[in-house]
Formats: sequence, C-alpha cells, structure tokens
Amino acid sequence: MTSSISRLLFVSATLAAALLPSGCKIANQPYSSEDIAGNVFFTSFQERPKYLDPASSYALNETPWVFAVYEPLLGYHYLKRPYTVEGRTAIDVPVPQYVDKDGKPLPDDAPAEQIANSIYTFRLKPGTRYQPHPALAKDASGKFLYHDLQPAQIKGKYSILDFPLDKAALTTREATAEDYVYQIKRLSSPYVSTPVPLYNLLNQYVVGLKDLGERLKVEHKAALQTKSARDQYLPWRDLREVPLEGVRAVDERTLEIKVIGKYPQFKFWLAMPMFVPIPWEADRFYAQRGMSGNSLTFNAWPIGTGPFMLTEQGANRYVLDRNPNYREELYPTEGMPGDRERGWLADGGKRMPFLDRVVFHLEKEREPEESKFMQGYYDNPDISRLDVGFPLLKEQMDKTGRWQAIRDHGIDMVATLEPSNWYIGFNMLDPVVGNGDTPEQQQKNRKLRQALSIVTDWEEYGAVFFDNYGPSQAAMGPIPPGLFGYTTGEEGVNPVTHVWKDGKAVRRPIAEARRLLAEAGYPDGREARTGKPLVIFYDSNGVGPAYQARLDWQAKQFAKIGVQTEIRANDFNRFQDRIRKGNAQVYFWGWNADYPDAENFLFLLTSSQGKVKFDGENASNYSNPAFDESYERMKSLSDGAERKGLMDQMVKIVQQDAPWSFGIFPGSTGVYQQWLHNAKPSGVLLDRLRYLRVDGQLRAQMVAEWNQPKVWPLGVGVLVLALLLWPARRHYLRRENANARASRIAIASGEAK
Amino acid sequence: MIAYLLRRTIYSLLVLAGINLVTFFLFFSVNTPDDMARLQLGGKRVAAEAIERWKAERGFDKPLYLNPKAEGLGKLTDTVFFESSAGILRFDFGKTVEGRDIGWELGKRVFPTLAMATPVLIIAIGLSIVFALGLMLFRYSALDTIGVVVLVALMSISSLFFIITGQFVFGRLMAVTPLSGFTPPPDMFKFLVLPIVVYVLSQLGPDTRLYRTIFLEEMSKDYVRTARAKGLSEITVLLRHVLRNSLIPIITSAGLLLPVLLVGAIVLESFFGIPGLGSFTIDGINNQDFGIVRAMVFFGSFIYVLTYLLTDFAYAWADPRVRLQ
Repeated sequence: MTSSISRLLFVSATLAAALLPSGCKIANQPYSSEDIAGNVFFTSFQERPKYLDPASSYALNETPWVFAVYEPLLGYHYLKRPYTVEGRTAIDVPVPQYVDKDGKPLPDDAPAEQIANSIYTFRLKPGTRYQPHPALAKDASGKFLYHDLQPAQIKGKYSILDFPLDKAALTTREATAEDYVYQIKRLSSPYVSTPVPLYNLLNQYVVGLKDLGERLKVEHKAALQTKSARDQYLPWRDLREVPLEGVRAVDERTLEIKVIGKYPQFKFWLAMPMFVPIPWEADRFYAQRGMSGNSLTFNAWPIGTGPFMLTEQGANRYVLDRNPNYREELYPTEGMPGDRERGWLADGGKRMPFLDRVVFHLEKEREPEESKFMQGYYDNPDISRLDVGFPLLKEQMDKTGRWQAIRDHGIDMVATLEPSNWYIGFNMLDPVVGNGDTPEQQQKNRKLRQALSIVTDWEEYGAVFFDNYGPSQAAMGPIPPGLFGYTTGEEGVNPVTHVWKDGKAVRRPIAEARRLLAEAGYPDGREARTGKPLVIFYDSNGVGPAYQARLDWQAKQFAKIGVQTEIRANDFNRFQDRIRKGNAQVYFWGWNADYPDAENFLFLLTSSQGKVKFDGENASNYSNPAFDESYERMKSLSDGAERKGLMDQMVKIVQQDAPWSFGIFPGSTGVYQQWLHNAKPSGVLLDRLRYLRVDGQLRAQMVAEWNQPKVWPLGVGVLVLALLLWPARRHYLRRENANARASRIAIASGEAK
Repeated sequence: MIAYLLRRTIYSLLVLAGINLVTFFLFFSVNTPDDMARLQLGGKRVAAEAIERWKAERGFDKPLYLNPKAEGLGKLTDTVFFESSAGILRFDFGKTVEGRDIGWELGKRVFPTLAMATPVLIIAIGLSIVFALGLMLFRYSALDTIGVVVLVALMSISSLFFIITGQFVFGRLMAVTPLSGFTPPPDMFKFLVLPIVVYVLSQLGPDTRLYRTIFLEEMSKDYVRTARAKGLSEITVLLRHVLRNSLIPIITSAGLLLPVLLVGAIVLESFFGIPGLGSFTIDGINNQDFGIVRAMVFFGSFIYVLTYLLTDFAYAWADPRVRLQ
C-alpha cells in the first residue's frame, strides 16, 4: 500500500514538473540567464517618469533616469559627508569673482551689500560627448539626416530607435559652453515647461533671465495668436538667436554665469539637472511637426552626456545602456572613516561607469517588489528611494517575517539620516493657534502652541512609526543633523519642549504643558471664559488605514492635556488647497532638502515664502521681522562663525514662537544584495548609478541556490484530485447501474432535503 | 436583420454619448483642473502661475460646459467638454496629461490584456461548465453538497486573497512561477501562468454555481425525462441535451465576462505588473488623468455594447426560435 502511494506521488510529481514552464532551469526567473549573470543592474520603479526634460524634471522618482542621462556642471562627492560639491562636467567648483555695481572686482571677503554681481567661470572637462542620437546624425557630407522630416515620415515612429543611425557618418559631438547657454535659455522659454517656482527663483539670481523670459513670453503669445485653435503647432524657436545677458560662452570650453548679488548657495543649484548641456540640434529635432504627437520629446527620450542613455521604455520596463561616448571618469579614492572597511573604496581610481546596463521594472505593489528582492531578482528594491528598506530592517531587528532569509542572503543594510523632516505646523493666520491680534493674545496663542508642542511626543512617534533601531531623531529645530548650522548636545536643545538631563534631552513634563495651556486661557482644555472645550482642527495630508494610525496617535497626544482633536482627513490635493487658502488650523507636513544647506529649511519660515500671501512654501504663514532680517543676512554668507551665529539666532526665535512642533528627522535604510558593490545610500546625491558595480556571476549562483523549484506540492495536488475522482467514479457507476426504483428514491430524498 | 442592426447601432451611439457625458460630469464633480495640475506638478513648489500654465497648455483653462465669453456656437464648442469629446467620436483619444498618445498606449497595452483574457475566458467558462456538469452527475448527493460548499467558499474569498496567496505559494514558497512581470512572446507564458490560474480560480466559484443552477432547472424539464426514457446514459443526456438547451444563459454570462476581461483586470494587472489596459486605467485614476479615464470608460462601454450585440447574434445561433427583428 505504502509503495503504491509512493509510486502515485512520484508519477504526480513528475507530471507536475512536466507542466512547469520549460526553457529555463529556474522556473520563477523573470529575466534571461545571460542577463542575470551579466553586468546588469536590476531595480524597480513604482511610477513612470513624467518629465525627463532637464528643464522640467523636479520629482524624486524621475531622478534615476535624469541623473544617469544628463550631467550637471557640478555634483557631490560620492563618499564624503557632509556633502561636498565638486566638478562634474566642470573641471572644478569655481570661486566666484565679486564685482560692484560699476563692474569693478571686489575681494572675496567683501561685504554682501557691496556686491552687485558674482561671476562664476566654469572650465569644462574636455571629451564630454553626447550619446548617439538621431538629432545629431549627419551623413558624410555633413547634412543632418533627421532635421527636415515631414509628418508622414514620423508617422508610426514612437521611439528614437525608429530613426536608424547605421547610415550616419556622425552620431554625436562634443558638448560646448554654448550648449549650457542654450539650456539656461530654455529655462526661461515658454516653449518648455519649467517648474515656475524654480524659474522664479533662478530669475532672482541669473542676470537677464527674467527679461529673456518676458520677451519670449510675449513673442510666444503673439505667435500662438496667429494659429487656429485646432492647430497650435509652433515651429522651432532657435534660442541661439536671443541673447542672455548673464550667461555667455567665453570659448568652447569656458562658461560664464553672472549672478545678482552674492548667493553662495548657487553652487547647489548648479548640481541640479537644470544646468546641463543641451544641443540645439535636439531641440530642433523634437520641434518638428508630428514629433510630440508621437511622444518624441525630451520628456520621453532625453539626450545627454551622462554615463547612460535611455534605450528602451515601455509601460512596465525602462532600460538604460552605457553611453559609448562617455568620457573617462574615475571612482573616488577618498572617503570617510569606515568607507574602506565597507568596501566602498575598493574600486578607487577605476573608470566608471561599471555597469553595462540598468533595467528598471514596474512594481506597483510593495509585496512583489520585496519578494523579488529577497529572491535576488532586484539588486536594490527601488534606487530612487531609501524608505523601502524600513520593512526589511524591522523584520531583521525584530526577528520576524523573513529575518532568517535576510540574514542568510547576506543583505547589506545601511542606515542613514538624510536632510528631511516631518513636522506639525500651526497656521499663524488662525485666530486660535495663530499669531493673534493683540500683544496679549499673541502671548496666549504662543503659549498654546508651546503646550501642544510639548505634549506631542515625537520620540514616541519615531519609535512607533519609523524604527526603533535606525537613526531617526526628534527635532529640536528646523535644521536637520549633518548640515552646517545644526547644533548637537545641550546647546542644541529646544528649551520650550525639552530639558537637558543626565546627558540627554528629555521632554518637558505634561504638567508644564498644562500650566502653559492654562496661561493661554484654556485650563484643563476648556476655554476659561465660556467653559467650552478647546477643539483643535487637524488636517491630514492623506487618507486610508496607514494614515489613520498616525491620526489616532496625534489625537491621543493633544488629549493628554484635555485638548480635543477633530481630524480633517483630506486627500493630498484637498490638503494642498486648504493650506493654500489658509484654511487649515494645524497640519502635518514635511520637506526633503533640495540641497544640503540649512538655508533650504530656514527659508520655509520666512515671510516672503508665506503660502497665502505669496503662494510660497511657508505653509504656516509665519512672519517675524527679526527672523527675516537674520535670514537675509545669513543667505549671502559663506559657512563660518557669523553664519552659524545668525542660524542659532533664527532657530531660537522659532523655538520660542513655535510655528511648528518640530517633529522628526526620519532615518532611511538602503538595502543592497551582497553582489552589489559601492552602494552608499544618499538622499542628496542622485547620480548613484555610475558608481555601482555588480558581480553577475555571484548573483547567478545565489539566484540559482535561492530559487530551486519545489514541485512536490503540485504532485500532492494532482494526487488529491485523483483521490477525489475515485469516489466520484464509484458514485456515478452506482447511480448508473441502480434500478429505476432505487434511483427515484435517491433523487426524491434529495429533493425532499 | 439590417433594420435591427441599424436600430441597435443608433442606440449604441446614444449610449456611448451618454456615457461620455456622465464620465465627464462625474470626473469633474470630484476633480477640478486645478487638482489635476497640482497633482501633476508635484507636491513641492507648486505655484498658482504654474497651475495656470499647466492648464493652458492642456486646454483645461476653458469653462467646462458653457463658455459665456464666446460667441454663437462657440459658447458650446469653446469648452473643455466639447474640445475633449470631439475627438473621441473619431476614436481619437487625445493625449495623457504627460503628453503620451492614448491611442498608441491602448494599442500597445491591448496585447498583454488579450494574452491574459483569452485563456481566462476559455478556461474559466470551460472548467465551470465541466464542474457544473460534474455536480449534476452527483446532484443531491454528499459530493454535490461538498461541491456547493466549496463554490460558496470560492465566491466569498476576495480576488486579492487569491492573488496574494498565489504569489506567496507559487512564486515564493514553491518558486515555480515569476512573482510578477511581463515580457513579449516567447517568454510570455511563464509570466501569465499564475495570473491566469488566479483569475480562473476567482471566476470558478460564481460561474460554476450559476451554471449548476441553470443545469438543475433544465434537468427538471420533460425532454430530459424523455431522453432518459430512451435509455441514454446520464452523461449523454447532460452533454447532448441539457448543455445545448442551457447555452443561452451561459452565453449571456460569458458575454458579461468578456468586456470585464478586455478592459483589464485592474487589481490583477497591478499586482502582477502586467502592462495591460487594467494597469493603464489604474494609472489614469491615480494620476487624475481625465484623458485616460475617459478613454478607458469609453473603450469599456464600446466593448460592452459590441458584446451585447454579438450576444444577440449568438442567441439566434444557439436557439433557432430567436429571431432578430
């Protein structure tokens, strides 16, 4: 009997194995074996990139492509922390030449008020060439192959690969200073969708950009008026023809940018993709009638000088291939203490990029993404984000879920604290928590904000909603750790919410919050005059179960001092709308740094950024002349004692005024497979792909080991089915062979039931 | 017959126009062009000027239904509704808010959806008929009762459960199929096995139960007794007589399933990373992209209308008593 069951099991398992998808040794393998063993980096993305035009892109999820294809003038050192700016397509970071209003040179330490302009002169690296692209394709006589196409010739073409380069004598050229000038002009062009706030910001600094923008806008409007409503096509506008006063190509490899006044943070903007070379030929190529209708635009098919080029894009897959024209760039030889031990300096001095190909797969849901990472099919779950490592870190530390697999697979987890924050903001225009109309009311409202700041236990929030083990920390002010201006230890404590005790910051007791609440006119959470309970309206920027836990937690915090909370759960659009109109009372929000400088956080509290008045980024509509004055002085200073002094002053002001309950600086965790090398996590440095190296052979070996198919359950399934069929057959035969009377009785008894 | 076709075509056009209007009304009742712009421009540094520019570039700066500033017919035609609807009647779906051609996207995405929907339709209906007929063989027995309990259980379980369990068991524990993804043929099959199994399984409960009920009703008819009296075996009775006479309700239910499958299994495609019409719809909804939402609703309605027309013809084929007039 046992042997016959074993025989049946064996036959079933063999049958089941035969049913498996054939053609590959590992049945669940989503890519070819050659790719798995090859020099290919696999990662995923959650949302298709919308804008790959360097003048338009401003979203985190677009950065893996944008920073792989384009190269700005400057970038950040891959390993050094705090972040250090260095040359990318520029040879080095230029020291600006300051001049007064008459154009006379000023010394480097000249007072900011004397400086009329800062002149940045960039020396460009030789040998910076564009990827092969049809826009640059010329025949042997020097004629462009694809610059005078008729719509019929574009019909049916949806990819730049549909324009073959095999007949071209030339498919690239070297990037020149004129190409940077062209791209900077594009930032002001109404023909290009530049994020307006960025354009407005650059307008303030780049000499002549605003005038050029106005001029082009008028011209564009006039051109559109000549067109019918049904046909708004405008031919290419050659921006080489229009001058831009503050930007010029001194020669082929020297670029000069003139900035209004003194603005040391300008160097950070130069590390963003707005300042990359763009060939006029590409602008002309994409401007041809019929191109944009077929999604042939900069946003879909970028052209750059970076280490990779986009060669495939589809609904669920994007592929970057190595740019064959990329110049010689070497992996850094210096880093931080500990970097060598982690192996991050092992490739020092070697030529980059290391990868031949980068493949992105669409993963809309987190579960398959994590599972495929655990199976070895992703080298990193999502290269654009650092928060995807949290669940795995938690599992490993709590010894739950897949913790054993995480350990056995040798997954590398690197925790880091990047410049970003989450906070609760008080709308200063609100009569209850806001600024107040009279000095007495101002004092009372401030005390209310302080009381609410004390009771919101951000240390607990970090433990509950982030991780117990990572580097997240409660904020004492708006400046995150790691940036110049951040103060640690006793000096850095927010005296309103914390005290320094036994060598650490301890949150002030609830009794103190109660006292402040009473002084604010709400003893025990009731309005002293009327006895009505104090109800705080709290606006959430999202809805759903994930938010609900946070909202419940928040209501519990205010309830500690008897303050009731009414939650207004909004989707993000509604939330933004409420903030924009100043309708929110208390809200939850956060900020990711554009660049690693405290100015990028302090500006969020300046009057000129007031959301309601100026549609800026100061969602609390906070306004304090002393803060603004310090900010204006601080932003034009280079890092040093004077700047630090001003920052300290500003932090003290906002700690007392409490327009925010300062919240938390969230930690991040990068998770990487053991065969992925040089993966140092960063939320600021976004051109990471060129530094990464994979060991494809090791990956193939590990993937084969971790993904051995287990077919015996299929055999069991087949067996169970077979066993079920047996009584069914018996039953059927019995009924078929039964005489009429028995059959009738059986059916009748069934019907009676 | 021609008069019938003509009449149905006119009805269909009216239905499609009505659906287009309702879609537009519902979409812009919960979203405003400002909302759309804000979402597209991102959460950071979104200024009023940027919103205005975004709207102007995409034609959302006009009034939705009626333009009081325009003259004559322009009051109606110089509106978002007219501008966006004019093309759709010519099957020109316009562009996504990101500037991609929707028609091209539909063309690209219809194959993955069809590659999954076709086997699902055939296998799910075929298996459901087989199981329902099987239950007929054992009707009113313990096997029938167990079968019905299993069917009710299958009906009660959310398709999400099937997806997650399927991925966990077959993709993770047994490692016999990829967890998600899609590639064009010839490797396509291994990516589709699991979604097809999951989809068929989730359809099996309701379909088999429905067909069982249909067959049970037929079994009580006189012609079945006559067939049995002729000495035909139970299997012959079921296959030759009961199945044939039950085809009309089966065709009706299959007709209902077809558009759902073609428009795409929204959750399924999303979880399995299949770049079909379902995931396109989800993208459109998440991005508040009116162009995609309207195109998909229109496409779905068109398939529904077409399927119902085909179902009518199938009735005539299956039952000679039905005449299309």
